[in-house]
Amino acid sequence: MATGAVRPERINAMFRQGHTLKGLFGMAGIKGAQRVAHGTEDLLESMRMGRAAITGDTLALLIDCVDHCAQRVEEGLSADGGAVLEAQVEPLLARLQGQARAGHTGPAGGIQVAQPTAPPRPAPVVASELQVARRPPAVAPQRELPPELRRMLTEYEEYRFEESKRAGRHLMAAQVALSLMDCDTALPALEAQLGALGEIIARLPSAQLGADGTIVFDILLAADAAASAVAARLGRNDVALRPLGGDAEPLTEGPPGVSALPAPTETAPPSEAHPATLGPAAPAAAADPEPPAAVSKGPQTVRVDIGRLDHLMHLVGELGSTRSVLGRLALRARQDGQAQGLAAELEREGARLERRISMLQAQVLQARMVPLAPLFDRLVRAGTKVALELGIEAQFSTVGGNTELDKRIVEELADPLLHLMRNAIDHGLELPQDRAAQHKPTVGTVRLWAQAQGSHVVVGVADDGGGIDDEAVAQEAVARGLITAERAKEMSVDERLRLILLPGFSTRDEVSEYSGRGVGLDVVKTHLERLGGAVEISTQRGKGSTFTLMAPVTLAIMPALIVVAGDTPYAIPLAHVVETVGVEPAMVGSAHGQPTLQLRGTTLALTPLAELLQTKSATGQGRICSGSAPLPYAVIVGQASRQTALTVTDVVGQQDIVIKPLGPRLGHIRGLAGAAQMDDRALILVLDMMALANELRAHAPQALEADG
Amino acid sequence: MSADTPPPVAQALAPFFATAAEQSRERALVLARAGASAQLPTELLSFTIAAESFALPLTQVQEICRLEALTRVPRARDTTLGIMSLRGQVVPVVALAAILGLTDPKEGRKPLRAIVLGDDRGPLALQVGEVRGVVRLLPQDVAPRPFGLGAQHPELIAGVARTARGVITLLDGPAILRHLERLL
Repeated sequence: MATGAVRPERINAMFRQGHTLKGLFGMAGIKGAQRVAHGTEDLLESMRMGRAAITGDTLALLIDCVDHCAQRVEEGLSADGGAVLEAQVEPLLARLQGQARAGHTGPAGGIQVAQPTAPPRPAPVVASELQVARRPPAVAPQRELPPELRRMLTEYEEYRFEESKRAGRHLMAAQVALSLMDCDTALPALEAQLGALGEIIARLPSAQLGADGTIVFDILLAADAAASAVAARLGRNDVALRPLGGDAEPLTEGPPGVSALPAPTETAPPSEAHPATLGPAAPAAAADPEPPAAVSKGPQTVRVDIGRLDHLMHLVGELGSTRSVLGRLALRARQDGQAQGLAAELEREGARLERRISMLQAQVLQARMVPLAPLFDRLVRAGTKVALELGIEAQFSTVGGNTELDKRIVEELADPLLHLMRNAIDHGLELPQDRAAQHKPTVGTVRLWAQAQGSHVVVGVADDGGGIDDEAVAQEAVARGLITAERAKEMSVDERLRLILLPGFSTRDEVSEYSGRGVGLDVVKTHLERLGGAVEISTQRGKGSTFTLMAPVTLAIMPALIVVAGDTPYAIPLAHVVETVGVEPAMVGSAHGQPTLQLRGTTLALTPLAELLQTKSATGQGRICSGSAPLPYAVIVGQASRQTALTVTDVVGQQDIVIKPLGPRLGHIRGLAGAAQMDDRALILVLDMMALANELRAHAPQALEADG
Repeated sequence: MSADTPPPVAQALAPFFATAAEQSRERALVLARAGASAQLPTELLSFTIAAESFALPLTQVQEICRLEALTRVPRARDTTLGIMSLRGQVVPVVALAAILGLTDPKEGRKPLRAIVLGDDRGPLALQVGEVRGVVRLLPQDVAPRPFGLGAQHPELIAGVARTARGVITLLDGPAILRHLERLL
C-alpha cells in the first residue's frame, strides 16, 4: 500500500466487519479471540473517527490481529492449537493498547494519510445546533442537515457529514422508493451507482411503508460534483436527488406517492418554494428551510434506555419503604405521651409524602408506556413478506395501535405476535385459487387489534382463512402421543383447540419455512404466562380463526409488606394486610387449644407464619399448634369477620414489588403467588394470602369464628 | 474482494444478529430436543457431585452459573433447594446429589455452581460441586449403564465413560427434566 488518500468507507467497512467478528467469536464462546477482535474494533473505531493515525505500525498490527482470528477459525477448534493461540492473546492486546495510546499523542510516523488527522470534535451536535440558533434568519444555511435526519445518524455518520462539509464537498440526499420484494437487491445496486459518484454517508430507511408495498430510503451522499451534475450522471428518474440546505426543490421528480424529505416539506410545501409566488413574510422562510422558531423548539421527545426507567421505578419503590419507616416512627411517637404533637405532624407529613410518591410512581409508569403501533407496523411488514413469498394475497388492517403498554410488555408480546402473524398467513389464509373456489374474496384479510380492558390489554390476530379443524387437531395429538384416543373423545371443542398450544404440535406434515420451526404455539403460551397473561383461540370452519392475547398493561407492581418468618423474608401484598401490631404477652390467649390474640375487644386466631408455611397444604393433618413463645409482631390479614393474625419475627417495611410467576415447575404450590426481585439481587417469595386464609379456615376450629 | 462491502458470510449473518436474542431461546429449545434423540453426543460438560464425576451433553446445557442468593421455597420437595434469579427470570434450583442419592460431607463449604438446563417448562438449575470443563468422547469410550447403578432413578443415567481421569457417569438431561417436571 502506498501513501495516499484513504477512502473512509473502506475503514468503516472494516470497522463493521471487526464488529461482526467480535460478535461471532462471542457466540462461539472463544473468549481470547473475542478480546482481540474487540481491541481491533476499538482501533478501527479510532481510525474511522479520525482519532488514530493510519501508520505502518497500525496496519501491521491490524494484519496480525486478522491473522490471529483466521487461525482461530482453522486451528483453534483443535485442542492443541487453541493453547498456542491463547498465548498470543495478551501480547496482541498489549500492542493494541499501546497503539491506542500512541493514537492520542499523535501520528507515530510511517505511512501518512494524505488528509491530516482531524482533531476530535468537542460535542459536535451541540456546536452545530448553536450555530443554527445564532445565525440571523436572513442568512440561508449552507449544507445544513434537517434535524429529523440528523437524529437518525450514528456518531460516525455525523462525523463523516461534518468532515465532508469541512472539505467543501456537495452534500445531497437521494430518495428512492423500492419494492419490498426486491429492495435487498435493488438497494445495493443503487448504492453501487451512487458510490461511484461520491461517498455514501448514511442510508436511512423510513419507518413508513410507501404506496403499493414500497419502502422509502434516503441515502446521504457527499460528492465532489453538485447535485444536478450527480443526478445527470446517475440518470435514474426513480431517484429524487436533492441538495441539502439552500435550494429545497428536487432536481429530479421523485416517484409518485412518496413524500420528500421531512424538513423542507414541512416548512415550505413544493408549490411555495418559488419566492416569486410568496407573500411578504415568506422569503426568509423559503430561503431558510429551518426557521429559528423550529430550531429552538427542538425535538419534543427523548430516547431513554429502558434500564434507566427500570432503575427509576426501583428507586420509587425504595422511597415507598422509607415512607413506611416514617409511619413507624409516627406510631412510636404516638405511644410516647409527650410526643403527641410531633406524632400528628409526622403523620400529616407522611400522608403528604405518600401522595407525592404515588404521583411519582404513576408518572414513572406512564413514562414507560409506549403505543403498540410500531409493533403493529412491524407485524404488517413481516406478514406482507410472508404472504409475498408464499403466493398468498393478503391485506392487513390494524385497530387500536395507539393503545399504550409498558415497554417491557410490548417487547414480550413481539415474539408471540410475530408467530401468530406468520401462522395466520401460512396456516390460516388459503391460496387465492382455493379462496375463489369457496366464493371468498381472493385477497385474504388479517386483522390486528388492541383494546385496553382495565388493567389488561387484549391484542387479537384474526384471519379470514380456513379455520382450525378441531377433529384433525385431536387426531394429530393422539398420533403424536400427546393424549390418548379416549381422552380425545371426551374433550370439548375448546379443549381440542387448545391442544395446538402443546409443545411439539403441528397440524401440517410438511415443515414450512415460516411456521414450522420446530417450535410452535407453545412458546406463545409460555411467553404470555410468564407475563401473567393468557391466550384464547376461537375459530369457525371456513370463516377463519382468532387468537386473543391478554396481557397486563403494566408490569404487575404492587405495594407489599415485607416480613420475616423464621429466618426468611416474605412479601405480603398490602391489599390483604389490615394492620401490623406489636404483640404484648397480655394480648395472647388461648381458645380451643389454639393461641389467640385479643385486639380491641376481638379475638383472632394467632398462627406463626413460619409454621403455616412449613405445613404441607395437601395433607391437611390436624391443626397448627405453637408451643413456643409468641413472636414480637402480628400481621392482621383478611376481611371483616374473617380476619386472622399471623405472627412474624420482624416487619421490615413496605415496598413496591414487581411480581414474577414461579413458572410451571413451582407454580402449583399453594400459598405462593410468585416471587419478586429485591435490591440485593435475591428473590423474595410473595404470599398468596387468599389461599393461606382458606387453609387456616379449613384447619381452625369452627368455634373460633363464633368467638370472633 | 472489495473492502467496501461486507463479505457474503457477514451479510448472510446480519439478519441473524438482529434477532439473535429472539432466536437464542428457540434454538435452546430445539437443541434440548435434539440432545434427547442423539443417544451419545461427543461433547460433554464434565462436573462433580459429591466428589464423583458426571457429565451432560453440551447441547443440553443452557448455561453454567455461580449459585448465589438462593431463596428457599417452603412446601416444595426436599430436593428443591429454592429459587434464584437468572437475568430477572425465576429459576428453580434442585440438589442433583440428593436426587441421585449421593451425599458429600464437604459440599457445604465449597462455592457451588449450577448447571442450567431447560425445556418448554422453563429453565431449571442443577446444583453441582465443581465444573471441570468439556470432555470429548468417542462412541468406543462409552458403555451402557452398568446394572445396579443409580438404584433410585436409573432412568436418569444414560451410561458411563472411561477416560484418562477415571470413570464419568453420563446423565440424561431430558430425563432429569421430566423427572423434575413438578417440584412439589
